[in-house]
Amino acid sequence: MTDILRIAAAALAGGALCLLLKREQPVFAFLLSACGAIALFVAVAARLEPLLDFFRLLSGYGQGQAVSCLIQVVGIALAAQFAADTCRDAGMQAAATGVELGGRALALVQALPLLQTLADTFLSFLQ
Amino acid sequence: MLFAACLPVRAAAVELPPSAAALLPDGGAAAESAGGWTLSALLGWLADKAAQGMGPPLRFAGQALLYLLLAALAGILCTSLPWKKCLDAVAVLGFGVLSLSTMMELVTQVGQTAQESQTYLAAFVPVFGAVLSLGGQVSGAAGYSGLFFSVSAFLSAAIERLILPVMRIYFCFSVSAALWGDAGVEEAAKLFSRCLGWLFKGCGALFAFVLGLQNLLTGLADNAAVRMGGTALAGAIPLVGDAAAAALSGAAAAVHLLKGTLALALVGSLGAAFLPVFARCVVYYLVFSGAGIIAAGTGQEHCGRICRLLGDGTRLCASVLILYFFMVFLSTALLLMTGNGG
Repeated sequence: MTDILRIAAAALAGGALCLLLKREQPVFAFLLSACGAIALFVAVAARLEPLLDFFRLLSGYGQGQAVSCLIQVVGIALAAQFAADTCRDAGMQAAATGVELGGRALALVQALPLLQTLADTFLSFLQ
Repeated sequence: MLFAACLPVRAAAVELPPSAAALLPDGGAAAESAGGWTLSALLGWLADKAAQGMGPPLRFAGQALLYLLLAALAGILCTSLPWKKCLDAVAVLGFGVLSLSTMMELVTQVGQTAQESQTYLAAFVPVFGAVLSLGGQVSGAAGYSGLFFSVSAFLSAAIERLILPVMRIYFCFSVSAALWGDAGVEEAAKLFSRCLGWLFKGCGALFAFVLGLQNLLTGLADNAAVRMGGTALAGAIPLVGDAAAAALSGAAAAVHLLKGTLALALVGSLGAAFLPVFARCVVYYLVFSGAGIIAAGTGQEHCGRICRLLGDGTRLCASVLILYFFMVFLSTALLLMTGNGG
């Protein structure tokens, strides 16, 4: 409970500083916003160890590539979403769109083995 | 040409399935060894067999549950709607791959069970027919060796060559319907499964009618023949004719006892072959029903669609097994009940 309150307080403080800096020094405001987001992400990630252990346990039980593929796509989605939001904060809509597009393409590439397995199953039956 | 006609023709017999070939070198179980069985040993053996049989469905249940939970967690972590849709697509792809491979194995097992049962019948029917003839049920033996065996062979071949490929098509179509996401395609898959179910019911009713009628007619003919034979024997042989007719009835009764034992052995053997696969179908159906509830509860509509359609598919697999076993059981039970000479 105290962790989320600390994170919320840090986020509010960072947001207030960004607003103060935005008019005079927009570059520093963007850097503060990006660094604050990264710091919050690192702080949260440090507390995600039990969840990561649970994912590893699931990967161990789930035979085949479906579980590992899904976990990788989740990682790609989180990274791409974070990068796109950061670009939008900096006013770079095109970069945000490019990052999201790249993220989706990488997610599709990760899902390609599953598509191949499905296609192989269909083709093996047809043959 | 005469010389060529004298040469022996090479006749190649159909090879035994591996499971039958593995059993033949072993000698049969001795009756004396049954005296050493204890209740705890039997229960332990049953528990081992149950664990072996139920292992794959329970393993699949664990995998499906964990996968759906993971997909739900992934959906919670990614808040953006486009990414939710992307994750949903990958989740349904993974769940489809997981489920489809399991269902293809189940379909193969159903086919193997039907094939092994037909191999067993190929050895059983001549023996049973001979016992029937010995007990005075000549027409019944002819019908059993002729119509019933032909129908069972036809059904086994139809299961292997027609029904199981159709089932595989249905499973592939179901996964494609869920991936596509169109409600109309899902309705088409449901209609397909309903039509298959009606077809199995219709075939079951038709076989029951034909085999039942055949048994009735042959039973009447055999009963009349046995009564006539007894009467003719009593009338033709002076003094001891009645005693000879009574002895004949006694001998026929002893053969009927053997007939009943053989029929029980058939039902028991086929039941032992069918029951594990049937139980697997039931467990898979329960697993898909539970997974469908979890998928619906966690908002994974496409995975829930796969669960519903593949659950219907497992019911169809169970229907195939019931159709075959019911036909064999019905024919044999009717033969037991008819043609007892009275």
